[in-house]
Amino acid sequence: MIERTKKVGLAAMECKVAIQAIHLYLDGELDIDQFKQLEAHMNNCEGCKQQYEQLEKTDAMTQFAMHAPVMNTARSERDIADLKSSILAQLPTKQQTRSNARFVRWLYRYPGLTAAAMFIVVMFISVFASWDQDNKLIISGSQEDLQYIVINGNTVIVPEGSKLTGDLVVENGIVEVKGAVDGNVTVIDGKMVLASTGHIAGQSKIIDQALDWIWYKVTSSISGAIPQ
Amino acid sequence: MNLLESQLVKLALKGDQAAFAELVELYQEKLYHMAYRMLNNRQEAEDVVQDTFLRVYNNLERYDVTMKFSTWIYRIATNLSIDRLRKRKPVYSLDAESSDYEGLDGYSMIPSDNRTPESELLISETQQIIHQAIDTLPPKYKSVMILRYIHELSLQEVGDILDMPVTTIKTRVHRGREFLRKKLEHKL
Repeated sequence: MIERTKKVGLAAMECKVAIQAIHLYLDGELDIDQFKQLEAHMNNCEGCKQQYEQLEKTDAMTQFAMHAPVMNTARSERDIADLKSSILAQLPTKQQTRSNARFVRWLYRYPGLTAAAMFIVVMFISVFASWDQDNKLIISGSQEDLQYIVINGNTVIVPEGSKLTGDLVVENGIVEVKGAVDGNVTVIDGKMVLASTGHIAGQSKIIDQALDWIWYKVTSSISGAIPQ
Repeated sequence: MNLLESQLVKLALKGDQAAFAELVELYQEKLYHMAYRMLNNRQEAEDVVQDTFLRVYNNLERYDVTMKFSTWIYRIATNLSIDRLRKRKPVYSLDAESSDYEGLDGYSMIPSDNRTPESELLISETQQIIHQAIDTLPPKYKSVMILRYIHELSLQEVGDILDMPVTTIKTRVHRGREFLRKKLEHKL
């Protein structure tokens, strides 16, 4: 009967499995039944038994060697105190690092919000920068209309007797309308003077506020984007 | 969860330097021990300990209170040690000053750099053989073996520290043990 169980145990465990079991045993993860199986195998297998002994020895010696205090470094009480004080001396002042870290962490935590905030900031900067910077006189209108226009310094004159058929947009200038305009007249950052002889059939607009100007930019770019 | 440690972390977070000093007191030798086993060099081990505490201090707010403090601090120290081991590889001349560590030349990389004659006597020959064998372990096995044996951490704790599944740790312990066995086979 004993012979039979031994044989079964032996048949059930190959050397590969036995080595694995040895490691588990050294990890402290082998239960009694499994250990008995391992023992049974080793009683019949000289190779595994030898490996078991070597591994157990290695394990014990490694443990021992690692646990031994770090003697060869000649580490004294003073070394310990020195290291401690040099660590503490190296620490940055708390206030600064904390507020910085908090801000940076906030940025990491809300990437969407950060991107949106960045976008708004960049938008505003670019829009305001371009509003403030441009002080060049810009005139836009249809080509046939522009040939009638007289420019004198930063004054744009629609002369008496001429008739513009399209819209006229002037940036950074004074518009004097002496003739007739069929379309709209828009003045950005400037003045409009309508002479007694002048006539504007469409709307006339003067834009000199940043917000008006942005609104104008937005609506004109939207209407430009939508084909009519 | 160690109550004292979590308390100290909380105080240090509020800017209490004395509490942080207490943490340094509690951990510096453990970390030094570990780093020295990894690097086998006194200066570098001290550097690792310093860097570790600096990082801990700067990242105290990021410390996850559900994690053991020891796990966290060991993780930082192990990573720093492994970084140094990896950087150290291509050292060719003993006289050439290392490009990675200012003021260190090849001689200071030699394990026996600062053994005094007296301390030499205290280490048995067997121990030296074992340490030499441990020193030849590739870094990924070395860190696992050192953490496993030095402070008798459980495999789970080693896994937490190295941020790896326990199964991986087990495999590495087994391979590391096998590696050492082969190294020591003829010497012991």
